[in-house]
Amino acid sequence: MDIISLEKIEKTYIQGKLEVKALRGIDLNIGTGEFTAICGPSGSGKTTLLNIIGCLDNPTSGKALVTGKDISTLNATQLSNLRLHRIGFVFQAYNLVPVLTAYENVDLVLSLQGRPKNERTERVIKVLKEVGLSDLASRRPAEMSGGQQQRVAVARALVAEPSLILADEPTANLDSQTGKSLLKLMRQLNEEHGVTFLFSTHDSMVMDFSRRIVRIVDGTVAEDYVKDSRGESIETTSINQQV
Amino acid sequence: MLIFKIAARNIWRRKFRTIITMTAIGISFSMLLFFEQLHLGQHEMMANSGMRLSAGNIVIQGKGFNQNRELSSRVRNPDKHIEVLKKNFNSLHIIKRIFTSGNLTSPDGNIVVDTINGTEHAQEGKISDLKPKLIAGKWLSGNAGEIVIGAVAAKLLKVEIDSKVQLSMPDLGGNVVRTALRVRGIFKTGSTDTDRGYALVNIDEAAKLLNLGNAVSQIAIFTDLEKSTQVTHQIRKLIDDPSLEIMDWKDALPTLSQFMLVDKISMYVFLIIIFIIVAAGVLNSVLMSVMERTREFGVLKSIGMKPTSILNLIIIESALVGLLSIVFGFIVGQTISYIVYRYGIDPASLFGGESVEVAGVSMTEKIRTKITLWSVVWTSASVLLLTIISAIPPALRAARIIPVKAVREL
Ligand SMILES: Nc1ncnc2c1ncn2[C@@H]1O[C@H](COP(=O)(O)OP(=O)(O)OP(=O)(O)O)[C@@H](O)[C@H]1O
Ligand SMILES: [Mg+2]
Repeated sequence: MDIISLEKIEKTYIQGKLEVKALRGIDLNIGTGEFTAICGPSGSGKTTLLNIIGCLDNPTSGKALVTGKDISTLNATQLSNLRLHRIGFVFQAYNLVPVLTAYENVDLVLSLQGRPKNERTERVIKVLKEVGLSDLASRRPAEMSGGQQQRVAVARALVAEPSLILADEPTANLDSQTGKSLLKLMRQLNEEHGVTFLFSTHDSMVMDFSRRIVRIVDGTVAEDYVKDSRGESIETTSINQQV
Repeated sequence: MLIFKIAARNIWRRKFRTIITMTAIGISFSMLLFFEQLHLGQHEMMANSGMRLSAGNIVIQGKGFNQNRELSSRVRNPDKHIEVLKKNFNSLHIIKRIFTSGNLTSPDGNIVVDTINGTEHAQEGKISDLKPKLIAGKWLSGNAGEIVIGAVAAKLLKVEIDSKVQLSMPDLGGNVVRTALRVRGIFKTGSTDTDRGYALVNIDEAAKLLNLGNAVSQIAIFTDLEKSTQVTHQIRKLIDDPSLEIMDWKDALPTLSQFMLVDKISMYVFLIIIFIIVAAGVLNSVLMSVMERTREFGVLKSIGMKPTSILNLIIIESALVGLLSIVFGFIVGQTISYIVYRYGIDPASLFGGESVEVAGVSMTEKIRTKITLWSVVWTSASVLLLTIISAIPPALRAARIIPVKAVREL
């Protein structure tokens, strides 16, 4: 079953008298366990799309199923719970609570879920180890590099074992070397845990790491293809060139 | 809970701002606490000295006496009532008194004495403020022919201890009666009204002279100030006599209790001003801290934190600030209050002049604070509550942050 299923998603922002059509009918299905990059030029609608998938924003029209649920039928609390239990988020920057240590930032999600203390401890230690930050567990965000902070964010997104992790330009604030190792980590976690990753980027290096690439131009899917391990395009689902 | 940890650390994120806020709340609270306790002390002192001279915590008087102060309004069977009181209460201090006014004459002078208190010398001596203020001679001994007068009266009459004076006054029937007395003691309170217009004689002598028989003007009852209203109600049930008026000191000394009410109201005005300062300070600093954390709250909401948790977080933060401020303010305020309790403030130095009279009560003693648990509890509880309430508008603002907007606004 597809973890994300979008049908004719449109999003129109209204700014005074101006209407901005950010998404103009997106059809997209993403299967469980995929590792997908959404790319496209600035202003093409990547963030808007991720926000809708992440239940942070409503589409103007169209149907969005996330983890099998039609998000337009859920109320604010249900959406919040869906995010808390099924979706992990990694933002571009400033992901973490500044007054909490790496450990506590990761623990926060489990704490919000109301998990028992011993289970939390075990999981947080495990996931920090997986992202290679066991030694920095007691550091606060300000005492860590950008790359380390993003790893903590990945750990936080992963710790509750969600079905889906959404990352909006997770490497944009990192140098290419650090970005690369973050992506490697995410790819590895994807393979080990089977958790679905969906992230946006306009970095070509990021695309090299992705199995599937969805290119968005002007609020529509312009290209959607899956690559083999050598990076060759092996399957092109929909090419909708309009530019 | 992690939320407490976040809250506790957040308040130290902007150390300077938090310290400024806490100082403002703390100082305001300490002032509130100090002035409340000063008022308590001052009011108690005024009530006590007013009471001791002319009333008690509770008085039993002939109907209308409080208004007319006439001998005709009298308690006819005081001993019967006192017996009832003694049977039902075990720690009341009771004095029978006859109040009237008259003239004192000496070879060298003549004065009007507004209050002649014909009293039980021993009982009166136990509670009297005048006894410790005798500057010459002794307190009433109970023997016939004694009078204790004030220093101003003595000066005007040009008399000393053991000098003879003549007391004349109308008796129950309106006939003027006279008697010769010897000055046994002279007191000095510093209040001209009291030192001139107040004199004490023995009750038996007064009763005989005035043809009162067993009757007295007043049964003065002393108990705990706080309990007086309650005990008054109990006594009213026990002694149900329409010819009597039974009242607590607030009714017996209306000018004093009115003054105290006005004084209390001015205290509340002061309290409201302090509260506005605290509320504005808290509102401002919490709002600032919410605004600069917009993105953070956006992220927290994105990962599934509920609006109510964010609301709680902000409320806990300001409750913690409030609590710390109260601890700080308590140390400052209670220290000042204790010093004033210990050493007192001279009312004369406060208001100028030699003696100060407020609402007919001369304030001759030092004003001291009265430290009660309740004054600490209610002032700190109200300041804490206020800091929490003032944090609600900014907290709601934080709770309503829309994640997509917050995360976008970098
Ligand atoms: N809140 C908003 N109000 C009005 N217009 C908006 C709003 N958010 C986004 N837009 C517009 O919608 C379009 C898509 O924006 P979006 O942020 O999704 O693009 P993006 O692909 O993420 O761009 P970038 O690569 O720069 O992050 C843009 O034209 C943008 O100006
Ligand atoms: Mg974007």
